[in-house]
Amino acid sequence: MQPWIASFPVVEYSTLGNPMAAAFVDHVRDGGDGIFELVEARRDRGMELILANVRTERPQRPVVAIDRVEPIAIFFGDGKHGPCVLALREDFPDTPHQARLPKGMPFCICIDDRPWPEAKSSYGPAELGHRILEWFRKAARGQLHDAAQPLEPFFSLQSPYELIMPREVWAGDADKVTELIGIVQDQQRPTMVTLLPAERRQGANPVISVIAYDLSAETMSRMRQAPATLADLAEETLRRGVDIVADLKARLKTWYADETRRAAVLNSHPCILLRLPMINPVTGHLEGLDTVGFMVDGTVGDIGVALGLFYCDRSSDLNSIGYQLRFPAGDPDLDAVRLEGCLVHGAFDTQLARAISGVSSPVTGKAVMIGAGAIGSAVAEILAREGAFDSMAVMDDDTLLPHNLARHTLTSKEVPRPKATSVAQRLKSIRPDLDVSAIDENFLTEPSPEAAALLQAADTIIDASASVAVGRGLSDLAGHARRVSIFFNPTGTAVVLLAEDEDRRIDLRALEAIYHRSIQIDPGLERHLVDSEMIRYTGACRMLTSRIPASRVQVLSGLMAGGLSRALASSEACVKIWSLGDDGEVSLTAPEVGLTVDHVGDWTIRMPDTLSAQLAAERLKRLPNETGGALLGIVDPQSKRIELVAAVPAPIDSTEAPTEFVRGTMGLRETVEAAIARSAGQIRYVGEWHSHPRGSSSQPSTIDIEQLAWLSTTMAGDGMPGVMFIVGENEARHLVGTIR
Amino acid sequence: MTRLTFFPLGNADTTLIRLADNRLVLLDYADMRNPDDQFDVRCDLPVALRKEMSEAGQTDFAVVCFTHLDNDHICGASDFFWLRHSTAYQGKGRPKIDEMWVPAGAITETSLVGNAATIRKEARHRLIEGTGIKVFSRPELLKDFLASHGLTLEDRKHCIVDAGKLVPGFTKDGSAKAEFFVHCPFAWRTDERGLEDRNKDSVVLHVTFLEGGVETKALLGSDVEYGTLCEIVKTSKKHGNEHRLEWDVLKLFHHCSYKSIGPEIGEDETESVDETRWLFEEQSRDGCIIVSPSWEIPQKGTAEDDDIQPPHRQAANHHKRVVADRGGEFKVTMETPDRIKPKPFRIDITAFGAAISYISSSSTGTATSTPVRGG
Repeated sequence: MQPWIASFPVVEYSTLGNPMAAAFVDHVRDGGDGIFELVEARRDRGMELILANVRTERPQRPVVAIDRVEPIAIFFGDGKHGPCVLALREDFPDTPHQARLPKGMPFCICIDDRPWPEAKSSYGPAELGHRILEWFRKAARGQLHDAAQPLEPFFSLQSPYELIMPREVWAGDADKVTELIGIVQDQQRPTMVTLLPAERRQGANPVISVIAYDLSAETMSRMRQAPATLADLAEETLRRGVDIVADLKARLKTWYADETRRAAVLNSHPCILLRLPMINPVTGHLEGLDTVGFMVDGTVGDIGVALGLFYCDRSSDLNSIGYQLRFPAGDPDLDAVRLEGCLVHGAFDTQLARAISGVSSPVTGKAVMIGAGAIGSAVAEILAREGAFDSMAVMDDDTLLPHNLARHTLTSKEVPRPKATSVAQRLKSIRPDLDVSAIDENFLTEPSPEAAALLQAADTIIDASASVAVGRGLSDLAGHARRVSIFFNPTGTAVVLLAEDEDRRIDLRALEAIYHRSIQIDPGLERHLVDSEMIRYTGACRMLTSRIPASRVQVLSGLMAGGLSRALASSEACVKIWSLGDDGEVSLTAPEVGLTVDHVGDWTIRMPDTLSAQLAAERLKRLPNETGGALLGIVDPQSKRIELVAAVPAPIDSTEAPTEFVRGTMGLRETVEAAIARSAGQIRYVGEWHSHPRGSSSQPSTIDIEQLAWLSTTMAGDGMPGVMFIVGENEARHLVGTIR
Repeated sequence: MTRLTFFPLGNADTTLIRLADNRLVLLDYADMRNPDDQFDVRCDLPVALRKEMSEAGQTDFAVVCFTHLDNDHICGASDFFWLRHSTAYQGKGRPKIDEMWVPAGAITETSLVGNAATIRKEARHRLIEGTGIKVFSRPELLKDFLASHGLTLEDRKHCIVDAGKLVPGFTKDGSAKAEFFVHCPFAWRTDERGLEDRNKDSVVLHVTFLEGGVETKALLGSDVEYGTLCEIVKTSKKHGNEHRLEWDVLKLFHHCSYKSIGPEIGEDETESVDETRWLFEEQSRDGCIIVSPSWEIPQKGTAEDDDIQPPHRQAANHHKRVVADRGGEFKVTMETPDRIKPKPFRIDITAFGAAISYISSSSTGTATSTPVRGG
């Protein structure tokens, strides 16, 4: 029998004090489904043990060597933890879901990974019995490991220590270990130790000195039991190719030689960190790295004593550091150094962020975000927490003001500081290994060299500025970065994503037109840009001036952050509009984004595929007659671009004949004005379209040329060209006329 | 999942096979419990079967096989099943039998009474109708019976399955994931036998299950003795059917009788003859399970130990040694999970072989082990 078990005296079942222990005995005696055979009860130190044999339901050819009958002990503790099940067979096999207990203790199987306060309300002896049986059943069938669940949740019966470990511990080469100090940050929680790189030490002497070893190697298995003494640990690590005794000796000599620091170091408390590969025992695959920590009972100097390097110097000499070098070195007594395993929490970093968020194909690379307002700050923060991007620059020249706090992620501490700087710092404070920078500039002014460099180096530029001008300027900016625009509609009931394709064939300007086309043709978006109270002609259709609650900003930002990640994971361009209903219901509009580009003279005209299809269908419908109507779009005379958005069909007083189409006027003005209003003034009348009859190409007729001349003259007053679009039998063409 | 369920019925046989497609195959039905005896720990078979049927989502049986018409294999059957031959057995809630499997003797035997007579009537009725029945072997015995009803063997060929053949309708590759091979009774043994030899004509089946690409084999013995077993072994070897005698699960012959091992009971362990030694020791596979459908094994020197009726302690010792050599298990229906309160138990057919399962009820434990609250 395990000495640890034997150290508990045997007691009568009738004297069991733990209610669950007593209930379990009754359950088994009452039949207990025939799974258990009671052996005896033991008690010591307020803990009670029930020893029993389990019939394991082992199949003929178990995946691991589970026996048909396994001896176990069920450990009933203080009520703060659930019952703990120990497998007593000395050669009990290694499986997933075993907790790591100190060496010398039996193996511990994890039958329940729920927090005990959650689990206990439903716990009864039958449940306990069932969970034990289920563990053995699954173990024998190789079904214990659930891929979605982390392996080996650390579980300790004794150690109160928890370590929070910075990523720098393992930043260097495998054999070069960063020296760390341990700090107790909250005196109310003295067992919660934060480890920091030694150079970040502030004032006080180190409380804990961290000695870290990376045991990564291909053929090693995880550590199954926690070493209880330095001797155990040395044996364990030596098997894995690291001679920690030799290493500790070398370190201690170096520390002793450093006269300025030796008193502090030798009297500090050592903590040994080991990093081990986690191998799935079933598949044999490496599933990650496991970090285990051991607090040493004693000081660094005490390790030296145990190694035979030092002897204790308890003299009252003021110069004494408590230890003296010993010549010659004595015999080591590594069993004298007792270890206590502790729970190690990895610091939050990109890797952990991605793992915990369950992001399988993360968005990586360098990002610049233009605009650090409500949507920018919220989306950037969500993305940072999800582990997106390796670096993020935040560009905004705005200052955080009190009213911003209603919707912003920043706090009153940052009022009235630059939004860009504060948002960048906040992202860094969330994910310290995210490379951040702040550009306190307006995108529309001449960029500083630093800003220009960041924009040029970026893989992704996110326009969260709520400015049409920024979106268009970004679209035109030279550089390879993929661009996206994200913004709320003016009433804050919807959020819009315009994402270019990887090769930038469909740029932000084109996506803006496709977005506007959706607003024109999708009945659900009729009021997308139009407030029932007021219609905005300001041009700043993305400006957020309404009274929008933070709750909605958060919902929409969440939808956006997820949508943005998905969009960037795909190489295709997209337009996505998520609209919120009055009761929080979400509807998604995702129009097709295909378009054709035409160059007519200096002008670039782009036509959404869905608009071409619509006009071709109108032509077919009216055959053998011609038909036509007005064209609406976005025109930028400066860059000589026309983005066609929508077409108005023939007014009812039009003349449609096989050789001619005369576009009427009845109701046309109202229709066009309503469309412009629906776009909040973003689109305008740009010209005319008409169809040619069967067997005719889109070659303009004499009448067409005359019409174009008329159009050009008419439009010249607005400094715009006249646009004519002709739909022929198998093709279509644009004509553009300008008056010079 | 395919599973076999065994029921504590004393010295009596009932084995339920739930196939991979949830269809139910029942081998024998022996409701032995005395409801007036409060100390009778044998299970209430109709109740236990209905529970299994409900779990499988079945109201009827795909197959009921009566291996032979002795009381310990058919007791109470006429009170339980819906039978085709008479409205007297067509009450509401009686489970129907899609296909009945019987040895030829069940058609031809004379001077039967009670359940045996009823089952014979049912089997005859089905054979005359030509549907819902498979008669195992010995067609020559059926000839006269069929002739008396104006039928020939040729007319009823589809209802007859010879020894050494697979039973049609079940395949390893189909939904059943199982095939049934008939070892006994023998077609070629023609000498007439009296009642005392009826056991030699009982049905012995070999089932091959396919689960997760792995074959698990069960030999489902009935009341045959070693002589018959020797003939089965010789015949199987002769036809190259040795693999049809490999077994992972063996439901014992004749309630753990020494007579199914060898001629002498022996002092502490029955000694096998060459053929039975080969069958038990060489055809068993690692981790195999022997199930003894019997009363508990008597202790040495007790009155029960002197009883000539099985189970025999010496036979049990033989079987315990066989399974011990294979790292397997010997289970007695009346001792499982314990002698005081025996319960039905299951053998699951898994991709890892046969596994005894102690819990017959389903449990929600697995589902509740996952935290459901995120934050």
